[in-house]
Amino acid sequence: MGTKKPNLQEQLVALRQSYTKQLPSKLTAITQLWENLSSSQWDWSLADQLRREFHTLAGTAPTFGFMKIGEQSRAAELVINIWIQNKNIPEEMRTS
Amino acid sequence: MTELNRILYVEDEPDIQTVAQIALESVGGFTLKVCSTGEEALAAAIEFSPDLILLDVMMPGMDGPTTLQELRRLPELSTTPAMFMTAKVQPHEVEQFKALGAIDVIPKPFDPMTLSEHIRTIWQKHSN
Repeated sequence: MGTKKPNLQEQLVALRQSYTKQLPSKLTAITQLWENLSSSQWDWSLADQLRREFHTLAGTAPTFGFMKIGEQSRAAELVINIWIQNKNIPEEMRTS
Repeated sequence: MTELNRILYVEDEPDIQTVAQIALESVGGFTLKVCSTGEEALAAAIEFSPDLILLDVMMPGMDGPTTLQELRRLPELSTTPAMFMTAKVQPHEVEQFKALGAIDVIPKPFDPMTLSEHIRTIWQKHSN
C-alpha cells in the first residue's frame, strides 16, 4: 500500500525545513568567502563570486521566510556591486 | 487570446526551482520545462515549444538576458513572450529588462500560492 502524497502546504513546509537546515552552512560559506577575499588582496573574481552568493541568498532566503537575511544579502550585493564596478574598495575595508 | 499552458523556466538555483515547480505545476496547472542553464534552455526550447519563457536574471555562465537574446535568434521563439524573475527590481532595472524584450518582471521572493495567478494576470494584460 503506498504512502499518502503530501499536499501542497506540506510540500512547502518540508522544503522550508530543508532550507532552514542548510542555511547555517550557506552563511558559513559566505563568511569563509569574505575572509578569503579580504586576505587575497581583493581578487576581483572572488568579489564577483561573493556578490553572486549574496544575490542567490537575497532571492532564496525570503522565499523560505527569512526576510531579514534576504534584505541584508541584497544590501551586501549592492555594495559589493559598486566596489566591483568602480574597481575600488573603501580604505577601511582593505585591512583584514 | 492565446491560452497560456507551456512555460520554459530557466533558473539555476535548485531551491527556487523546486518551489517554482510547485507553484507553476501543482498550483497553476502549467506544463513546465525546467532548465538550469541558458545552454539547456537553448537545447530544449524548440522541442518544448513554450507559450512563455520565464527566466532568472543572474545565472553563472549565460545570464538571463543573454539567454533570452539567444532564444530570440531561433525563428520559432522570436516572438514568444518572456518574463524575468529576479531579486533585482529597482525601477530602472525593470525598465532595462523590458527594453530587452520582457513583457514584465516578477520580483523574488515570490509567493508560491499566487505566482501562477500573477503570471496569468500579466499574460492577459499583454494579450489585450
